[in-house]
Amino acid sequence: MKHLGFFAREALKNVGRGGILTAAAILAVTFAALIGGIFATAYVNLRTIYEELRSELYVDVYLAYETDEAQAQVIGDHLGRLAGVSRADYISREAAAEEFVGLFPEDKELLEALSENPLPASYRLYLRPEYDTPEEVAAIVEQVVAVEGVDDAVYAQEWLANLERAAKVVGVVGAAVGGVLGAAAILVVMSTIGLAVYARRDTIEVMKIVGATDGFVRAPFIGEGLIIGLLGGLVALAALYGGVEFLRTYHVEVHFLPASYWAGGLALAGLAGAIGSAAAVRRFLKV
Amino acid sequence: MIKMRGVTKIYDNGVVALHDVSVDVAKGELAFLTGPSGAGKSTLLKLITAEEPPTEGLVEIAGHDVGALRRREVPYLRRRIGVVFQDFRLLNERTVLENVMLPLTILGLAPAEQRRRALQVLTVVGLAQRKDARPMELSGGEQQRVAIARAIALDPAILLADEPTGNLDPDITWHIMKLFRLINARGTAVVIATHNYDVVKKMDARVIKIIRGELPEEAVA
Repeated sequence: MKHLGFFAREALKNVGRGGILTAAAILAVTFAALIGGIFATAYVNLRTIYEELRSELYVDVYLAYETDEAQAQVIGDHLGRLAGVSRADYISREAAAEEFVGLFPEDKELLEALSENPLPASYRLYLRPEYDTPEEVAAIVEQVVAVEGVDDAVYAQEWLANLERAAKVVGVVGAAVGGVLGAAAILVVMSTIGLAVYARRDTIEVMKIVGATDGFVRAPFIGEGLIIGLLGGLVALAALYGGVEFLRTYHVEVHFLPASYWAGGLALAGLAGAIGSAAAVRRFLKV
Repeated sequence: MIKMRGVTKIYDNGVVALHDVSVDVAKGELAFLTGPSGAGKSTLLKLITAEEPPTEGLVEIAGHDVGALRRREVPYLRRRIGVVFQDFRLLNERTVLENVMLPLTILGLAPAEQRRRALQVLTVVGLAQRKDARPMELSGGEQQRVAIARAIALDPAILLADEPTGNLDPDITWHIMKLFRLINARGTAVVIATHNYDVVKKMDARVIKIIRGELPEEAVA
């Protein structure tokens, strides 16, 4: 602790003196962090869309065409009592026709040309938030279609499941690509800082001769790697933020990473730099 | 202060640098280690600073068996031994004062104390007025005096010098030797490795002769 000021000054001086090698190391971290950041942003945004859709999830239950109002009432009571259903709204055949016309006004004549309203009565079931995973929705729907007088039940099952799968794939691929690029960044930081360390091997030798411990020699280099990692991470975050803002000017509704993500990413970038640096300096300590 | 018994050093490439060397250097003694180039002088000094381990035998510094030291204990041994090299080994990106302060920084002294003690030893070597210069701005003799100041900054029990005047002209050499005598007079054991016999003759001090890795004239109890 008593050496902390010395280590910080040395690390900053070394970064300042590093020139093109330091710039290359920062760039390597930036590149890796940016790719990781793009995947993380895609994941977070897909996840957000998924959550929003899931919270608005409902199941349309179509009743058999010949069902009368009294029967519909009985079915509705039954559906409303099913586990996981929070509300069952009745949509009469007339209301369905009105909704149809509202949705497709140009087809109004088509409906009027028919002698009888072809649309069945239905219930719109709203689900409790705790019952909204694709598996649970499927289980509820299974019970619904088994009810006598129910013709069919429709909901955005496949689409929702696909969206969740896409978010998972993006997350996994992102983590894998980020991991590989992170390892590559560590190697690049290792070799660039390795060159910087090589240039200062005399300093290391002198320090060891006058009684410096390995830890004392290593600390400023680790500090240097940490600064390089953090700078690379910051540049990547700035670029990512710029990219998100740019998309927004084109009215693409994209969210920037939440604080926990970018803070974690920044910490990882710093760690990658520090590890790369520690590994590089290790070779020169055997004096 | 320094005790060596039956020390042999064979490098990985098979070169026998020292063979069955036994020697003592007492506390506060001044000794010259002489011999032609390649005789094993530098190796002997490296064994004392634990830069190299002995292949065989005992190296003891102030009662501590150097060969038995763990890697992490070596720095603490080195803080008791000052070393001066032929090529000075100063850090050119630092000022004279910062170079001398380095061992004091490593020791963890407060910055004001580091500065005070560094200036004190720079005064001993006569270079306090050049404290803000960079080593490259100094003459060879001045650079060696800075290196000596750095070596004595921690007030070591032993000062080792490996061909300290090898790059210096005769006048400067004599000045440096007087400095070593002054340091020795303050109670530090000083061992100077050199092949400059003229200097050795003038200095009137103990001479340890090393020839092809052996000390033929040394007799120890």
